[in-house]
Amino acid sequence: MSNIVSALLMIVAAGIIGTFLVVWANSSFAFQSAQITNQTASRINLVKESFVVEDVWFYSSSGNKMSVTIRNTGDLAITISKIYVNNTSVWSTGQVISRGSVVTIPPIAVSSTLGNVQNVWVQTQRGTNIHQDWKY
Amino acid sequence: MGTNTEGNKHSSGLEILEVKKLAKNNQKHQRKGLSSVVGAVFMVLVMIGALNVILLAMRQQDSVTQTLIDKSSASLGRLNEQISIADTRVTSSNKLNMTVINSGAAAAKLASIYIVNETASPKTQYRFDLNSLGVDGRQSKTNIGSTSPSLPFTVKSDTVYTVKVVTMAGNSAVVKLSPLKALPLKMVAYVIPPSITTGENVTILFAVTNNATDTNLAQTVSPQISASLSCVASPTCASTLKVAADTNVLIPKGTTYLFKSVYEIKGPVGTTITFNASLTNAKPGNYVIEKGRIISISSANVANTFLFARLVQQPEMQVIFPNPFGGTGSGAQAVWGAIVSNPTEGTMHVRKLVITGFSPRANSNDKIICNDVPTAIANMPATGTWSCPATNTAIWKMGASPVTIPAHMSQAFWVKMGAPSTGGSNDIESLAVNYNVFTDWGQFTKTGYDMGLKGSAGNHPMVNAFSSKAIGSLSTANLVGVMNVTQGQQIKVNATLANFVSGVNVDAGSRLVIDIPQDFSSVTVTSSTGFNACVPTPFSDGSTQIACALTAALSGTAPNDARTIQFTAIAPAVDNTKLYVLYLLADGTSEGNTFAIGPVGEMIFRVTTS
Repeated sequence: MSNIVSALLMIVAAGIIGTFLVVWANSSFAFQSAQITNQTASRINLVKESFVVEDVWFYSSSGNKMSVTIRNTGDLAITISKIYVNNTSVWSTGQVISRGSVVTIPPIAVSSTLGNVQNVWVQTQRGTNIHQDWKY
Repeated sequence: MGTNTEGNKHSSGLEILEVKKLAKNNQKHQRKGLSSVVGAVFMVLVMIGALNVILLAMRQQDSVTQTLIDKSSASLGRLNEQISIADTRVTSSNKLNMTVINSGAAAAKLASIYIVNETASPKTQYRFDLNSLGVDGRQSKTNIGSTSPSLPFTVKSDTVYTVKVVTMAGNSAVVKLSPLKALPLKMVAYVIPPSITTGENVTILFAVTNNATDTNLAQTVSPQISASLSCVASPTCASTLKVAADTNVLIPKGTTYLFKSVYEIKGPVGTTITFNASLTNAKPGNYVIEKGRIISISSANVANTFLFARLVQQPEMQVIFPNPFGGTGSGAQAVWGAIVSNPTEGTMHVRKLVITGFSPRANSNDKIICNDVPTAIANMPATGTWSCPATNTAIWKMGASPVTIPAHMSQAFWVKMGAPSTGGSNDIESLAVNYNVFTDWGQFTKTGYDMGLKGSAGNHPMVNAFSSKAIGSLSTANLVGVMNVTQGQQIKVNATLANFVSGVNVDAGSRLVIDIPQDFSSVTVTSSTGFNACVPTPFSDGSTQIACALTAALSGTAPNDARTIQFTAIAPAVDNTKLYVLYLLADGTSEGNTFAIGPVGEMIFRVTTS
């Protein structure tokens, strides 16, 4: 009788431990899967992100200004998060550009001298960067 | 045995117990194995979960890899497209017209075009969407801006623009576009020749260089060339454009275009010709001036060629005389005279023509010409009379009115004379013959001709070379000095070598030499009876010579009194009536090398345009 009881106890114990292990493992695996999926999607989106700085137009209107024309050539909408001129942040308003469309971001005040070459750095929310030199 | 039996009994009971124990133990072990199985099931479940995670991670990794491959492919495509703006101009409706070339292997999609007005202050920029206009690899796309697609943008004629084309891949091509009004071009003009005679054509070479290095001309260019003369405008002071320069020419940067125009200039000597050359809608002040001058022309320039492509304000004479001049009192006469040509554009009137023979000896008995009565030749000319006012002087004088020679026409003044005699009947190997013509354009003299004269000691040939209407004819009715032909048409000529004295010989082997003027083509001998094989010899200057030897002596008796080489030629194309000289000469001997023969017969080909 005791053997039966002990055997039952063993089975029950093994079942409880096993169930706990399986639940914990599934939970952990699901978390890992979600993390992997999110991370991968994020990276894929980053890679898929594609845009072109078509033009940077410098002009004088109540001070030196510039406008940046950006075309989204990728398959995803992008968000321009920051624009730097000579490594100085000049714009951080944020601008969503839908897939295949072109947007001109005006006006951005700059402190440049006519004829100088300016390094314009455009950054998206996902972290894609384009550095280009434009003549003022 | 009983013990043994009991013992056996005991031993049998133990065996049963042991069997039961074993059975129990087996049951225990079986229960313990059941829990392992349960544990193993759970482990399998955990392993499956882990495996799913691993597979998911691998699939995600594969997705990332595929995305990276796509991205790399797109980047390679971007690197493989190479666009440039091959041509940019402005249409007549002031539309931009561009040609974009993709010299790369990958197709390019044109996304936008940016046009910056560089002249405006501040500069203004216009952007137009090209809707992913495709340009295949190693292909071009034309008419961008004007028709495919047409941009709602009008180009101003006085504005500098910068045009930029951007592709979907981010590549761009830029060109600067300058209108003619804003771009000074280097201009040089050449007047060829810088000194001309009146009536001559002058060529203007107007060289325009687009030496801009960073900009394209926005449009084709057309020259504006004007010629002005310092004389008062009149029919004799005028410039006429004969050949107009090209128009609507594209001059790419770094290249030069030569505009050629030709003017006919008329004016008095000393007139200055001023050519002012520029371009239509050129930048103010962008022009060039070059000058030429009208000068007189020396007769030496035209005496030999007699190609009246240009005018000479004086009469010209082409002569005919025999050589040697022999004969006796048999009454034989040879042909003398001259063809008077009017190379001017006005009408010329001839009042008198004089032929004078000069003996090298001071002997008044040397009677070279006019030792008999001159015999006029019909229609050479039709009016006036020949006479001999003095020994060695034959003169033609007008009748009631002078002989009229219209512009670019010729008139033969030919006469037959004979019976020369010399003092002491001596032969004269060389004597001079002089020709004078008196016209309302002034008197003109032709000298330098020389001939030989057989004295009166015996018969000797009178040798002439002339053109005739018939083969082998001595008849004056067949003589022809001026032959008319339309440009491009065939002319047939009977060049004749004649001996007017019977019984004396021009030696066999003597040659008739025919010099056909430049530009007459397709010269063919069609008849040469009495001569050895005749083959025309073309020269590099465009002229042709036919020189053929007599097969038998020219005895003065038919048929050996006149032998003819008949030839045909095609007259050249002319832009106005031109007069050419046909030289009929001879080389050989007479009477067994008594004299060298050398008659001169200068005939006229008059080539008309129609």
